[in-house]
Amino acid sequence: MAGHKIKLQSSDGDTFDVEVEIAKQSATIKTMLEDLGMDEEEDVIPLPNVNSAILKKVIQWATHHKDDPPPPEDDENREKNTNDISSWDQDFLKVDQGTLFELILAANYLDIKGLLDVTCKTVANMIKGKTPEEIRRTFNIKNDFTPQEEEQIKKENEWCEEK
Amino acid sequence: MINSCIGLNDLPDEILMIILKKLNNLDILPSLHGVNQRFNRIIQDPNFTSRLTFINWSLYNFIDVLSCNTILNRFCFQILPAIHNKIKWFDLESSTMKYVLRAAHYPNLDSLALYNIDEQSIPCLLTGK
Repeated sequence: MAGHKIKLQSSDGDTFDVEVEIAKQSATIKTMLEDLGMDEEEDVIPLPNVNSAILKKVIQWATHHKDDPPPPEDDENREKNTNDISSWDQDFLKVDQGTLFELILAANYLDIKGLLDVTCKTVANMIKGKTPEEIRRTFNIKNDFTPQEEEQIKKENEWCEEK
Repeated sequence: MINSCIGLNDLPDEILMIILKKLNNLDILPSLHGVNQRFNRIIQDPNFTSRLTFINWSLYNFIDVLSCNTILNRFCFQILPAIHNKIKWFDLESSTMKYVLRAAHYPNLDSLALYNIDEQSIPCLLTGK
């Protein structure tokens, strides 16, 4: 039924009225609606793994992409291309790293293939072409090698640059 | 305003695998080998190490990805010795073939695709000299 809405409840208790067709981009929600017969407007779907700020972003993304064709099946042999993110998605994903990673976790939990794909491609592009030191700096990752391992890596790096 | 302190290194392995599978192995290995213990473990996954293609196909030619000395040395001195027993397949160009093949012992290598091979390279490959 066009325009039929359901309520989604975030982990911090906020509820959002969302059109069923938009919410069904989440395979997790689609399964809940179909398996549990939750199709009444007063039914509330709890999403304990997604806070309200992230859920709001997810709904914004799903609303923009509601008329998209279904994403293609995963194919390991397909050429890897991370440069095909639409300009709308690029603007949508101009967020701080924490938000980007929360969106990835939410997309994975809600099983929204398209959102998982663009968020993961965005992170992949942030990794591409960087040295390990730049990766540590960019993503604030602690170097946990022992001093001996670190010394060995340093020596090898010198060889790499000299030869 | 969203305040979150989740970082890349806080994501579960399952998600990191999804992210890394978006990249080619030759983008993953030089960037992530040596970041920390966890990434050194994750990049050992067969998805990222079983086949290493050191050439790019352009419209008219093959481009040797290892033509930059720093990248070649990084692979030969650090990365290949660390993942040598995971590698099953190489795609190599003749000019860098000997460096890659001599960088480590590859006990599980069962396929070798060679490109731009000239007459001089063949005896070198067959005799190991």
